[in-house]
Amino acid sequence: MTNHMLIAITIFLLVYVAILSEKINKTVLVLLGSALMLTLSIIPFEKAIRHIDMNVILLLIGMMLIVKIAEKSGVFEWITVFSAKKAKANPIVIMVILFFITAIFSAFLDNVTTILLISPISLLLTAQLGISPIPYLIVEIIASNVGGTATLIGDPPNIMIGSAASLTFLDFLQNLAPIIIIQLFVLVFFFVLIFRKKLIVEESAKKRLMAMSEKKLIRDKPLLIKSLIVLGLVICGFMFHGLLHVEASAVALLGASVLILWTKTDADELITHVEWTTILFFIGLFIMVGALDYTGVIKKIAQYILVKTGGDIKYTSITLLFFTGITSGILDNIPLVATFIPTVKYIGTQVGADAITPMWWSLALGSCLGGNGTLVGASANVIMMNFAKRNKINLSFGRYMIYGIPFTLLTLIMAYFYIILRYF
Amino acid sequence: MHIDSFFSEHLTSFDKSFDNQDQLFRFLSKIFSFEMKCDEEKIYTGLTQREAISSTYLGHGIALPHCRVEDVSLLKIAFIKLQKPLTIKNDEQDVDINYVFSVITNITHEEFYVAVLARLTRFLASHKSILPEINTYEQLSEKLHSFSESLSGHLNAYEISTIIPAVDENQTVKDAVDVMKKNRLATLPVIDSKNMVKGIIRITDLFRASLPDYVFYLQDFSFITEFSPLENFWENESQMIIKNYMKSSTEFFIQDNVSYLEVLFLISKHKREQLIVIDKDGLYKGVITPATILNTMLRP
Repeated sequence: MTNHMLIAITIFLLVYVAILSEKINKTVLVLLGSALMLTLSIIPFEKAIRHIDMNVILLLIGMMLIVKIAEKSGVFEWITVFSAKKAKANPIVIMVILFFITAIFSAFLDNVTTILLISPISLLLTAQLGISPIPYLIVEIIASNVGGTATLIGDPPNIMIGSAASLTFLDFLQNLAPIIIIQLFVLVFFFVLIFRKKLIVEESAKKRLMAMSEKKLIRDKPLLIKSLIVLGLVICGFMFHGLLHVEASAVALLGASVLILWTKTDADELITHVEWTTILFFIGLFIMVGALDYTGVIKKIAQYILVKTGGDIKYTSITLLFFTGITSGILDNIPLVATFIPTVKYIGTQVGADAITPMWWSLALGSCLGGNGTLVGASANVIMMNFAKRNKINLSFGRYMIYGIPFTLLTLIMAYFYIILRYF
Repeated sequence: MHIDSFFSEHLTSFDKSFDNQDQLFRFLSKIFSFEMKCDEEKIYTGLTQREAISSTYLGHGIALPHCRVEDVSLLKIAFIKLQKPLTIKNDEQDVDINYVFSVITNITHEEFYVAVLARLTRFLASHKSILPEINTYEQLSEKLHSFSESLSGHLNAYEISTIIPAVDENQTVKDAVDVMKKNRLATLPVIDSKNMVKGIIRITDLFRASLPDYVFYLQDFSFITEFSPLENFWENESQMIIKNYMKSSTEFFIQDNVSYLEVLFLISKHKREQLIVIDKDGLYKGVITPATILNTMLRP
């Protein structure tokens, strides 16, 4: 092992531990880490820049811009209240609806945005019904992570995997959506079974919910129509981006620019709402992982895996699924996936690029589903935890794990059977 | 410049009485025009126009008619101790005045004029008890000389502030709301038992606290007309301690000696609509709001 490799590993691990401690902003930490890699000449600047996956960065920016415009129309809140009223304010049906709405939203928006949109309205609905919001918050966290696994744009690990492995939106739909749909129905069955006894409300509370006039939530109907049309077209664009040989990021950016022009949105103001900390986090992370790759650390890891698994793709895929699935519950899954992507790519150079396709799906399923394990397993969970704390809701770490761990294991085991049956 | 230098024997009177306010203004215009060698009519017009905006009655039987006119160069103050009380209108009510302090200066001396008025008002508020003892110009001069503050110089935060009731940090939200209601105020300073300023309690912060945090993530609230958490909050107001709802950030505090310019800057740049004036020991000295500035500086 060279000195450069040792330094790169040390910086990477120190940053990782510091992120885990949650004492310092994680974006600042990865920027510091990548700056150290560059100033200590662990990786030359030109090489580092090439490791920044601009497809991921631009896709994130494009989708953030579209969602920021669309959410102003009030459509997400409207759908929720409208459905709750259609359910005649039945708390169990509302839970099922919120579960599916969250899953579908997360499949097409990022999970954090979905949680930010769904959680306030869920608390409002439960306050009006006079019942505990905790079951709702738990099912929404799980739905956001499971739903987000289904598509290329549903969760950042998928965006990264799709871009690195040249997998299209359709590839994700064909390979991941079937198992995710099955999982959603299994999960919702268990949730109803577990929570149904806690969800009992009085008739007066139901009346309070039914008295809400959800039409007022649509603040800007033309904006709503325009953003739904563009969002629909962008999703169609994603479906065919592989066939058209256009990167998904180009589709998202095109959609965002058209929507800005069409709705006459103040671009200066809108652009300030792009989550630049997330974007910078990705940039810093790409450089840090780039340094690991450049110095040969990734190659060593990949070789170690190949030796341990004897080059058996089935065994490697399953190990990857459970390893990332379990570690994602404790570690941030984005850096984890960022590290595994070049590793899997290297394995691909040894055993053939086509042979490793199941490994990509294992990585996606493991890292996305694994996020459900604990309250810090995914960004959406952390957002929900802080949100509950601010609203004096006792959604403790331990309380969540009672549900998080069994359901993560359930989904990982289902994913295991799916991988075995479908690819081997 | 010391306060007594603005008075003169010719502008002081102890034996006059008037039937109405107009007579008083006529008399003031006459003595000012004689002393300052200027047009009597202009002074009369200035005094009546200023009085028409709002009464210059200060309370405690003291009136402070004042105006700025074009062709005078100095600032002069007249003092009249009335032989018998003169009844004038103040906010649609009849009030009796016994003492008149009248200030005249040039139209361009705005800042100086405002400073003199503010300081004279403050002086009169704190020294009103000496007025019955004054019966000659010499006595007036002597008493004024003992007042050490200078009348000139820039106004500071303390001088443009007013005193409003403060509440103790350990009182309840209900107590604070009662004081607000009684005094028609939406903001109160919060102090401790030693009169140290601890924070500020605003009705708007209580409104914010009365709604759960999550509603502020919604983009709209018009779709809802009945909301139980709101009512639950106000039910418990007599158990909630002010300390837990006040804003204790020092951004609401301002030192008493800070210049009025900085006060204007803070209010306009940082939208601080309420500033609590404290002295160097952190004791409560008064509050400044846009309304107090209006009364002390813009339309004194």
